[in-house]
Amino acid sequence: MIRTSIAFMVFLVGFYGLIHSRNIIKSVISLNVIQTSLILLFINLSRNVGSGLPIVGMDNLKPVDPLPQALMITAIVIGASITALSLMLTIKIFHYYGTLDWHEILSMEETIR
Amino acid sequence: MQNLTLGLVFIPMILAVVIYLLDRRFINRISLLIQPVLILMTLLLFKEVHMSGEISFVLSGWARGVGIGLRVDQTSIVFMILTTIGMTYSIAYDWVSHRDDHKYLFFLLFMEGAILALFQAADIFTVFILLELVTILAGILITYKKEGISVKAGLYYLLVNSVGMTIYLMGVIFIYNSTGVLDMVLLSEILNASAPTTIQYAALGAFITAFAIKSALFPVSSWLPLAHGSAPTQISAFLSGLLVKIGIYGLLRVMSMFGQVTYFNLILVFGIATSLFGVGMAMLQKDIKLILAYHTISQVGLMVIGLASGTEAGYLGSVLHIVNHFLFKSLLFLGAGAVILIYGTRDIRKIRGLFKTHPLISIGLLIGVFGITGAPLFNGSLSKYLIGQSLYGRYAEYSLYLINIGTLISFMKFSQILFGDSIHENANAVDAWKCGSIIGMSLLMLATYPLELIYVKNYEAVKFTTESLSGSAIKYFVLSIVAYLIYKKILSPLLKKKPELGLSRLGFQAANAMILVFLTTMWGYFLLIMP
Repeated sequence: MIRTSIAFMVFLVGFYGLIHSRNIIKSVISLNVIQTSLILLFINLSRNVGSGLPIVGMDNLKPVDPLPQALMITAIVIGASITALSLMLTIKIFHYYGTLDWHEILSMEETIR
Repeated sequence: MQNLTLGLVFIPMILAVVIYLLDRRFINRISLLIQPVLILMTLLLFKEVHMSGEISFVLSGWARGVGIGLRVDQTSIVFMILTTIGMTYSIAYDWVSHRDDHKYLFFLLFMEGAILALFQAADIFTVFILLELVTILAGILITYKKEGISVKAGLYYLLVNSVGMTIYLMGVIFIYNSTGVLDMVLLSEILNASAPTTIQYAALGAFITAFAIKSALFPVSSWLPLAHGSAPTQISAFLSGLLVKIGIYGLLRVMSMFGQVTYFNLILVFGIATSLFGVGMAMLQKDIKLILAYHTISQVGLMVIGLASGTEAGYLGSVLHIVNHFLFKSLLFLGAGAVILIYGTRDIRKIRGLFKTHPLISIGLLIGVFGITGAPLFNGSLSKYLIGQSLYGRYAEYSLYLINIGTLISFMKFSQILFGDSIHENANAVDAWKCGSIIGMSLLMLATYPLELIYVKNYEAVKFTTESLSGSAIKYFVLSIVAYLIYKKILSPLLKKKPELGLSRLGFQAANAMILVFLTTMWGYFLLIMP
């Protein structure tokens, strides 16, 4: 119960960061925080104290559910690749505009051909 | 048959990798030549699915629910046909500049393989992985022009959709925690057996929020005008045509998985709000691509209205509107791209006289305009009629009249580009590939209407009489006269006096605040109001 509420609080902190941050890099970091909180939530929800490792022939205990762990490894990898791509686009935006502020970037009046 | 479905996924992906690694002229040309082969494969699958029921199997022979399953049923095969057609014009439209660009072809073909796999996925985590992949690839393709505004639009699109996908992952977590399965067929059995628990309703709220962000419903749609207005033309057309429909596909699957219909009124409200918002913003725009982007938002609202009405006519109308919207929105975007190249400007007040100098492109644009406004004898009328019939007798039917009038007003303003005298011209900018794509899409659109009539006749829930069809035709003419009067008397003088209306840039922070508000609304409704 405590662990799931901590995960929710981290989720809300991440969302607060998304809503509040004027810097693009802080938005990317907040997205990472949200993804981390979900990984934390899922691993804790499938926690089973006293069960064995999910490897065949390891010990005689009932194995813990391995599916959440596999799904979360996938989610970590996806989060890492999205972070990489958004940081690369942030670098490009800095080259074009010279600023990393969301308000300045989105309110620039420019036409595109 | 199983080889056919797997081949549809892996042939574009492997070809994409081969094109990227060996940068040779001959192999780049294969990317266009393989598209008719893929279209034929999807049509073969369509015939197979309609003859012998759905095709479903699990990879490597694992049991259902244990291994990765693929399932092609009557809804997904329609989407798969649209994907292959969309990829054909995406490659063919700009063939002259992109035929040697192996990176561009790599991204496009890989996205095709990913989208085709997405429509076949049978469990919700595979959908998550493939949706993230499609989001990443679409974000890269939006920024392909390498201008400042394209990179800005691509980053905005990527971040907002990633937040949406994270909320989707939260829904997957809740579902797995409460039911222990991830497969969609098994889930629909479990969730239909008894009323969903609190945590399952929370998962439903998360799913609906995620797919609402993907398909640009009213509060969370701010990424769409930026992304579709700044992308390269054929990418805008493909995005508007297919990628927003992926959100509708997700909504469709989730709503049929849960099976309860009591929350449909909430989604109906959001659908109507989306349509009215899209149409209202579209009437005030000056940029030709932004008009079409806001109309995408409005038509997506119509599809959500059709789904949320809960009747079979509404579901059918929604699926047909997905097909029709793909056809005419792609046609309009491709035509608009050609117009921008000819005139060198995107301002709709400066473009005049297209019909005199380029009659074929203007006929294509006119066919698209008739389709989207729902003129009789064009395919838009069928889907709008079905959606209107699904709301028969409810107060929501009047909103459809408003939406149709708004669409008509906006497209009367749009079609001013066809008349008048030519002001400024660069007639050689449009080569045979672009013109051929436009003509091909318009012929495809004209040919689809009889096919849809045949498709619809098999459903007994749909009632057609000559009185109802001619009634809808008369309604169209009356509405167009009203729209013309409103345009001439009210809208034109208003826009001349205040030309700066219509610029809306919802900031990134405000977009995320809207996502949080939407999510909280959904959760508040499901957890507090419903029980």
